[in-house]
Amino acid sequence: MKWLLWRDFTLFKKRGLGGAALYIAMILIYAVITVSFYGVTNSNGESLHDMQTGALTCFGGVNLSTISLVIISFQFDEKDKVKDTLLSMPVSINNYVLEKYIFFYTLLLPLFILGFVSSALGIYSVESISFYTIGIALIPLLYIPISFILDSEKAYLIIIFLSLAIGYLFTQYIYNLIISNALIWIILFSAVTICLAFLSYKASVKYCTKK
Amino acid sequence: MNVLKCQNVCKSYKNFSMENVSFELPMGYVMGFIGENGAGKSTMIKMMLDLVRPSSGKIEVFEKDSIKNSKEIKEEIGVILDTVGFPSMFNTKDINNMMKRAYKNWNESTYWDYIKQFQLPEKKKYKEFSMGMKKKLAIAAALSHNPKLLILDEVTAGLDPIVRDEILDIFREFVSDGQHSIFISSHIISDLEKICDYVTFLHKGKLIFSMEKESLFDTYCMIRCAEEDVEAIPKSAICGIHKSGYGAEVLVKRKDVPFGFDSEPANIEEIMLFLTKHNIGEKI
Repeated sequence: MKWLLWRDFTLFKKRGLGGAALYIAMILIYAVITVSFYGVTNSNGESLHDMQTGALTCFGGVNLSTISLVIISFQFDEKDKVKDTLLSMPVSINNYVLEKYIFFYTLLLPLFILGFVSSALGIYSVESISFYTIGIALIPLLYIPISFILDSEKAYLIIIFLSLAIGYLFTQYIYNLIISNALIWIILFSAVTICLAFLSYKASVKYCTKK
Repeated sequence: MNVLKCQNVCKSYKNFSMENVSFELPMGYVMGFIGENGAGKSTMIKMMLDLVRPSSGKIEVFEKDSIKNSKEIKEEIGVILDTVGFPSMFNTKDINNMMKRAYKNWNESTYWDYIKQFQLPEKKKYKEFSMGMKKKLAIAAALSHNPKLLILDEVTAGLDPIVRDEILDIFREFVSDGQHSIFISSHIISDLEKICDYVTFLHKGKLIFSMEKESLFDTYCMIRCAEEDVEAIPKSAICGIHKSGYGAEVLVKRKDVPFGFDSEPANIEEIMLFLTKHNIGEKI
């Protein structure tokens, strides 16, 4: 499986503006936006960086751009029709699928780190960042099986729609309801995410070679 | 020892089904896998590689179960699929770097020898390669980890006769020691006829025959005669018939050739065509 990771990261690096360079730029933009709002208030003296704004930004904004760059790698593979060639080499279907998750999460790692740093600096609350982390963690769990069942292009559109919808619903209707018992909900969402991870992996393995 | 053994392999899709396909390839031989588009050849190859799971039946490669020992088996086979798919951004050096990480027995010097022999550029990206160059690169990659079996799907398609001949020479060399085998699917039957010891014919998901090439030639022959003379051939002897303005061509079983008719050897392409397109009954 290591050779698959080597392949994915080498390709990511080689794609230049379509890959690693743009990815780093997006991370930097995200960091600048996050930090630049720190301490800024509106005319009523309210912070522009309240929890709702933070959650909305996380779910619906810059992160989607970053994630879209990760998804480009999957789309390139589909365009190059490499799947059958790779699977005809010494790797099991299970490991081939697992590598996709590892690759995706590795590239999302800076987003998680930025979230934790933001929380540590007091820019966002711990609760906000926890929900944000769970939200980001869900994306590969949904995207990877859908990309195997349909294709990466359709999976991308579905994920954008789902992310925006969930982000909007979460910040507008759900967030205020659950924030009073945030810890319980964080534990509950984490448990659901872990279950979903298992189901997502199983579905990906099942559909990896179905098409 | 059989390097490949398929036993009653079935696979069902919505608009296609493969039924009870069984055949064996002994070590040291070349098997040609023929059939029209959609006959199930690529599906069969994918099942051998555990890219598709059979609905029922069993496939053994090197006498090991192809599903349970998939990774181990793939270390010892070289594969070229009809859709050769290396990453478009990679050059020959990147592919070497990837393959040496993937295969335990990867031999860099063998790989670079093939790259030199095929005159492939080292720095050019894969996406800039011509079809012929892509196929040659795939062959170099498939042969450089000391495989015991080559599984090839349409490897000579889209190549000019000179390159095809060059590639067939490499395959002949590969099996010359009796320890290596090839399973090759192709629509270019003349290529298969040059290198195959066995021929397996799949038609609409059903196995028509799997036998030694020489036995096949011993079994069938062609009679070319005037249209009116066809009546003199017993219907039970006719496997396939094609009538045209110039007369009739009839595929018959050699043992049933009636007295007074001159028979000619049938080539694999004729046998394939007459048993399917021009087939008149059950005499397969």
